[in-house]
Order: sequence, then C-alpha cells, then structure tokens
Amino acid sequence: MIHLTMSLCFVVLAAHLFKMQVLDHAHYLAQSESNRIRPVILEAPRGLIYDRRGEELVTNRLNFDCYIIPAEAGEYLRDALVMLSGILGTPEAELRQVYEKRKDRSDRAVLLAEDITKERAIRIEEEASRISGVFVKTRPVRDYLLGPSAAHVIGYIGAIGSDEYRQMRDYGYILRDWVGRDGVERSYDSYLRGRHGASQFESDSRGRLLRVLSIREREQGHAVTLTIDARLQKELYKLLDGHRGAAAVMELENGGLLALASAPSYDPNIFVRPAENRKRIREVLSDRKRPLSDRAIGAEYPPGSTFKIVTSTAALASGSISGGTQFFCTGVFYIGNFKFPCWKHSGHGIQDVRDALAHSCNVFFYQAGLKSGVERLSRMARKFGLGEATDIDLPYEKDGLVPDAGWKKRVMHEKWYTGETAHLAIGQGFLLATPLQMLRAAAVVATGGKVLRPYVVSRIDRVEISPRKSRHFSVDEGTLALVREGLARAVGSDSGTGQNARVEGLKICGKTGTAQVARQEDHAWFVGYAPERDPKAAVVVFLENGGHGGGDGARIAGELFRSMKAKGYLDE
Amino acid sequence: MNDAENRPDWALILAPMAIFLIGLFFIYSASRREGQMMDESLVFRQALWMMFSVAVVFFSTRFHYRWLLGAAWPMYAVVMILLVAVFFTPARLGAHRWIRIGFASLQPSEIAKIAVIVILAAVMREKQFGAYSQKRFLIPLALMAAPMVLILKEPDLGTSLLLVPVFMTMAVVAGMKKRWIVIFVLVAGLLSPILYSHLKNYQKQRILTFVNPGRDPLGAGYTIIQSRIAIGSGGLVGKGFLEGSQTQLRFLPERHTDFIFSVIGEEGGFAAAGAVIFLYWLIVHRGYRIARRSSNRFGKLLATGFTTLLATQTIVNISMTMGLLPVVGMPLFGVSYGGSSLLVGMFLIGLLVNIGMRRDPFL
Repeated sequence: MIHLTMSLCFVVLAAHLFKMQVLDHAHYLAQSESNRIRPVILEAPRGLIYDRRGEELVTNRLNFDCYIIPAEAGEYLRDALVMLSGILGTPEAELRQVYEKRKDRSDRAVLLAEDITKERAIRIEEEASRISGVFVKTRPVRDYLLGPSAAHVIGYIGAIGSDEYRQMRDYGYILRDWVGRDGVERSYDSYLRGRHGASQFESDSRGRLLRVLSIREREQGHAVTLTIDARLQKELYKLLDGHRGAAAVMELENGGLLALASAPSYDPNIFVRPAENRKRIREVLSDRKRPLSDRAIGAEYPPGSTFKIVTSTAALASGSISGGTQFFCTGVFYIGNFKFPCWKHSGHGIQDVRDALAHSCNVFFYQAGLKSGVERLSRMARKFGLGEATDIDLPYEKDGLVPDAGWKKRVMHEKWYTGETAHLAIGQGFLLATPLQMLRAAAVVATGGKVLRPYVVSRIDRVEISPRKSRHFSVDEGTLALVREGLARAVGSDSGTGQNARVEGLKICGKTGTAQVARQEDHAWFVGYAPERDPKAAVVVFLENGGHGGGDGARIAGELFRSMKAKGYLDE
Repeated sequence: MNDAENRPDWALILAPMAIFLIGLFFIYSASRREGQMMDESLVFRQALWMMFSVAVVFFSTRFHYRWLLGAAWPMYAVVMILLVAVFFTPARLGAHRWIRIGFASLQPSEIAKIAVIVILAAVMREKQFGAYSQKRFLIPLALMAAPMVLILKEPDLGTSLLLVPVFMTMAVVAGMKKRWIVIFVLVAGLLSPILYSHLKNYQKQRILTFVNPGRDPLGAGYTIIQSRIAIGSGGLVGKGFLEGSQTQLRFLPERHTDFIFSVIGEEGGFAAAGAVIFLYWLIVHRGYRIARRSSNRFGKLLATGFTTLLATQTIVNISMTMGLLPVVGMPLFGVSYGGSSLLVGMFLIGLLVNIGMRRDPFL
C-alpha cells in the first residue's frame, strides 16, 4: 500500500510536469521570452504633517527629473540635446557640459536636469518617443513649508546609510530609502514612512510595460498633527532672528507645546535634495554657530537666577525661611573671606522673599540657600524635574545636571564647599538645565506642583494621543502664594527685573535670569506664565550670550504673551 | 540462502549515480560565471563530494546491518545531545542548525533523521508489535516527537515535518491499525494551526505566499513565479544546456541548491526532468521492494523508513519548484549542491543495498 501510494505521488509529479512543460508550454514560454519580468519598488509617500489648526506644515510634491541613457541615445545624442535645449530653455552647450560632467564609465542614466516644471516634463515625454534614451522620472519630495521657522521641531529626512539599512531592512526599509534624521520626522518615522509597494511587471526587450503580473499598492504614511500653532511658531522664529538661543511656549492644561524654536536655524529643504545643495549642507554642518543643534532641548546651560524659583520654594517649604524672613542686602555677602556679590552693587536694602524674587536679589538667596542646605536645594530641583530629560517626543534631548555633595564626591572626588551651595542657590556653579526644563519648572509653580511631560504630536491620523500622565508633588499653598506673588511683582512692579515682558491688560508672572559664563558674555533667561490667576500657558526665552535677562529675553517673552492673548490662548 | 540473494541491487546503486551526473551538468550551468577557473567552481567540489560518497556507499554495504541494532540507543542519545547543543552555538542565518567542528560544520538534524529511523525500527521490530495493544505505538511516537520538536525549534520546519510520514509508514509496517492512522492524521491536522502560530515570521510568510504568490512580488512569491516560468518554458526537450534564459540571466534564486530542478526543467525540458523523476521513482520502487522481500522485521522497518525519507524529500522538493507546495528549505538529494545532504543520502542508499543483500532472518 505504501509502495503504491508513493509511486502514485511520482506519477502525479510527472503528470504535472508534463502539463506545465508540454501542454502549457506556450504560456510559460511567452512569459519567459518577454521575461523581462522585473520587480519594481513603488516608493510610498511619507505622511503629511499639520499644525494644531490643520494648516499644512510638511507636504509632498512631485519632482520631475530629466535623464538620458547614453547607450540608448547613442549617435542621436546631439538631436536629443537640441530637443531638450528647446524645451528647457537651456543652451545646448550647457546641457552637453552637464552631460559630460555627470557621465561615468558605466551605462547608468545621466541626470540632465533636476526639478523641471510639470509642463516641461510633459513636453519631454511627448517628444521622447521620437528620440530614444530620454525619459522623465518622478519622485515624491518632501516640502517643508515653514522652512527654517520650524526646522528643529519638524526635523528633516536623509538617505539611509548602508549600516542602517542592514539593521532596518527587516522592517520594510529599502536600499536608498529615506529616514527621519531629526525632530518629528525622526521620532515618528515609523508612522510617517508608510509602506512601500512593489509590482512585478512584464516588459518587452525595449523596456515598454506589457502587463502587470502582481502588485502591492503603496500606502502613504500616517498624517501627524502637531500641538504647534504655525502662526505663533513663525512669530517666535522671527523674534529670535539675529540671536543665538531658544524659546518655547507650553499649554499648561496638558503640556502640549504651542511653539518651539531654536536659533540660528537652517532650511530643512536642502537635505531633501542633497545633490543640488551640497554646498549649503556643508555650510550648515560646519557653521560654528551650530544651527543644527536644538538649543531648546539638546543643549544645557546654567539657569542663573531663574533657578531662584526653586531655591525660594525649597527654603519656604522646608521652613528655613518664612514669608516674613528678611535679609539686608548691602550689595555683597561674605562667606569666610570670600566675597559673593549681588548684581546690584549698591545693594537692595531690606528684602523679603517676594522682594527678592522681584528684584532677583542674590544676597537674599545666598542666605536662604545656605539656611536650606545643598541637599534640600538639590532635592527640590529634582522634584521640579531638573536633572532628568523631560521625555518630550523629540530626539536628542539632554538631561541637565543637578549637583549635590554625593555627586561631587563621586565625580570629582572632592568635598562640597559651603560657597558652592551659595552658587547653586542663584543657579550658578555646576547646575545645568535645558530651556525646556526651565519652562517646565515655571509650569510647576503655575500648576501648583504638576511636572508636565511636554509633547509636540497630538494626533496620528485621527487617533488622539493622550498626553502621558504628569507627575505631581505637593507644595503647601502658602509657599506657592509667596513665590507666585514674587514672580508677579518681577514683571508687574516698577522695580521688578522683568518689566520688559509687560503686556497691556494681562497679568504675567515671570523670572529673569542672567547666567554668568567664563570668558563670554552672560546668557539671558526669562521664564514665566500668564494669566496670574488662572495660568494657561508658560514661556521660556533663552539667549546665548544675550546679556541680562531683563532685556531682550523679557521683551521677546512679552511679545509672545501679547500674541497668545490676541489668539485667545490666554482667555480665562 | 543462494548467491542471487546476496547480490547487490545494481539498479539501486546506478540510479543515484545517473541522477548525480545529470545534476553535475546543471550545477555547472547554474553556477557558471564568466571567466571562472574549473578548480574554483562548485562543480569541482561537488564531484569531490561524490567520490567521497561512493566510498560511503561501499563502506555501508560491507558490514551486516544488524550492527545498527546495537547502535540504536547510543546513536539516539548522541543525536539528542547534539540537537540540544546546537542551541548553544551562535546562530547562522538566523537559525541554530550547525555545529562547527574545526573547518567543517555538522548539521545534527541530518544525522537525526537516520537515528530516528533506526530507533523506531529497533523498538517496533518485535513480531506483531501492535497485536496486543495499539497503545504501544505511543512509545515510538514519543521517540520521534522529541527530536522533531527540537528540530522544529532550530528552526527547520522542512526536516522536522519529514519525520511524520517516516513514522507513519513504519508504523503501518509494524501493524498499526488503519483506524489509528486516520486518527493520527486527524490529530495532526488539528494541531497544525497551533504549529502555525508557533512558526517564525518568515515561515508564515512563505506559507501565505504559497497560497497567493502575488502577495509578495519581491520575496518568496518571486521565487515561485520565476521557478514555474523556468520549468514551463523548458518544453519537451528544453532550451538546451547553458541556454536557459531564466537560469543564465539569474532570474532564479537558489538555483544551484533548492531550485536545481527548475534549472533541469528549463534547460533539459520534459525529457531530462521527466527522466530525473523516473530515476527517483526507480530508487523508491527498489527501496520498498527490498523492504517487502526482507525476511526479518528490523530490516523491513529500516528499509521502509529510509525509502520513505528519500521519497518524501524528493516529492516535497520537486513539488515546491513546480509551485505545488510552499517553499521550505529542502535540497534535492543527489542533485542539489551541498556535501552533507549528498553524504547522508548516499549512506541511506548504501544501507538499503546492504539490507537487500542480507535477507537472513537473523533474529
């Protein structure tokens, strides 16, 4: 029985072979002769990116490039060039030059003209039937409509590297694929990229399409909607123009960012077509002002006096000082023989914590800091979310640094000195923070202890992304009220340091900062929120070597608040 | 016992040789590259393997096969150890199939196939094995299942599934009732969805692609489509040696290993491919004849197992190239390039000849 069954299997095989090779021979032979059955990859267009109001920020447009195949053009090369010259309006000699320059020894198609208009592309296609070897190739190209204004949030794409390709090909990436390199393009690459299609088609020996054998349609990537308001973003970028620095605006309800910019910036469109923009890309990469780095999240600075928000909260909450505690500022403070100056050399006189926040009095905070001690300061700083990444949905975020005695012992093998506590209390010394971290710290005061997780993507297609739950720590209302009043006075009172941020008809709370850096001009800071009673949004402005925070820093913040008010973001 | 009974079955020896020689031509065709020296080519290495295999055939007919009875348990134990050990070796091509010994690498699943057949024959050789209770078949079933699961985990789906028909045919010879065979098939059928859910992604892809080759035009579906075109376009007498456009233009992937039959079909046509199928049938036919004529249970069972193994491998590979079965990695014995499958195959042929030469009821 076994013998028979197996023999039967062989008979079936032979019969099937006979059917294929003898009966259906013609069918297969036809396929094999025209076999030029080739798999072709259909590149999927990336998903579009919108702002919160549905305005397009990034689109794809069809790019037309004109190619010529040397072997096919052959002796008719001159005719082809003359024809193209007529359509493109480029002198024939110039086209020939391009051709000679780009032609290599292999028989690959030579790119004659990039990004030609649709009308010209159609005319070339019409003429191409007369002269062989000329064709137009289309490809979807990323178009960053905001250009440099939103470069750091949106990012850019670049061609996949060969190592990356090896790692990622199992996930549907193809050789010569594009991947997100920075910003949302990078962190949401898997959603934006879509799925490449493929088809097998039969063509004749001249490459003409005969019939499609099978096809898997390409699928466009998912659309991504940002929390960003394009109008505010553009204004913010304009405000930063000419500076080096960063600024961001965050909604306090959930941590969504309305605007996030870093200056100097770059035009992401140059990376889409690296061949044409080689020079500009090289300039961007080698620019010593580092336009590619996102100063809002990817760079750390001493926060200077903006840190006094944390110092005052730590000192009040621990009972080291109270609302009635006063210190006398003579313009200088001594620890042993070491001199710790206030920024106002003539001194502020008698100051309580609200005055000190409004005037940014260093002498008050040296003493409040020393009374609290380094451990309480650093612990409170960490509660405010400093020293750890905010976990924003953008790549390359820095952690910042909150020093304490243990850290110094571990890293520098030295003990912690009292003077270093005084430095920490005014946001100097080892302390480092990103502008986004300081924005979040201001939001902690505004929300009464909520440590928000900032984010920029609110929706993928129609699916809302729920903001990750924010951390919360309890601060007593008395402490909060004192700090808030101090911040309100800094902007509102006529002796406050942040007067430049004032906006008619809006009560703004804020804190300026002037961070000293060795052998460079000071960094300017401003953090704040508004309206005072029912805060809706927080702002950070940071200007690298921008002088004192009460100057341009506060002024830019004020402009942002004014603009937000006009757009209704601060309505109570 | 007379002389005629002791003579080796020459048809069984010559058929594989003929298959091999045909295969050699087409490996040359499939692997040929412009300007390559002969001594570097795969053909030369394959010919060396063949000479070695002839020695193996000669050797495996010299001793009395009853010697395998004593080796059954030790061999089984060693194979199980190797099958476990293989998981502690670095993965190659995403699978744990090989153990490196010096310059060569050993594929334990190849030896496992032989060891399982020998142990099954040893366990079920008793006269009227299933006569008292059919439950006794659970023991050989378990002995087959253990290495099968390990091989499946390597992962090597093709080799592990080969063991199923081998067990079935041997159990039938040992007296398993038809009712139980039907139940076995039904249970296997019910288990297959579970098996499917445990498969690796690429294995699932291949099965889905088999059902609908258009699903994945760039991957496995491409292979199937191209292989069918190659075979079908060969016609009655083929396109001629070195003339197959599918083969020469490299439309066909894996053409010198798993898909060598497509090359034969394209360049040699129905004449060559049909002849190859006939030669394989001849081997299988002679193998089962030896099983039937063997006068002791051990020899009968061994010959049945070996023949089923060869037959199933051949049927699966050829069906796969014609698009009748999903693509599983399974070489065509004697033709596909590769030393270990050739050696094991020739060893099996040698043992079949051995059993055919010694029909004494020694037990």
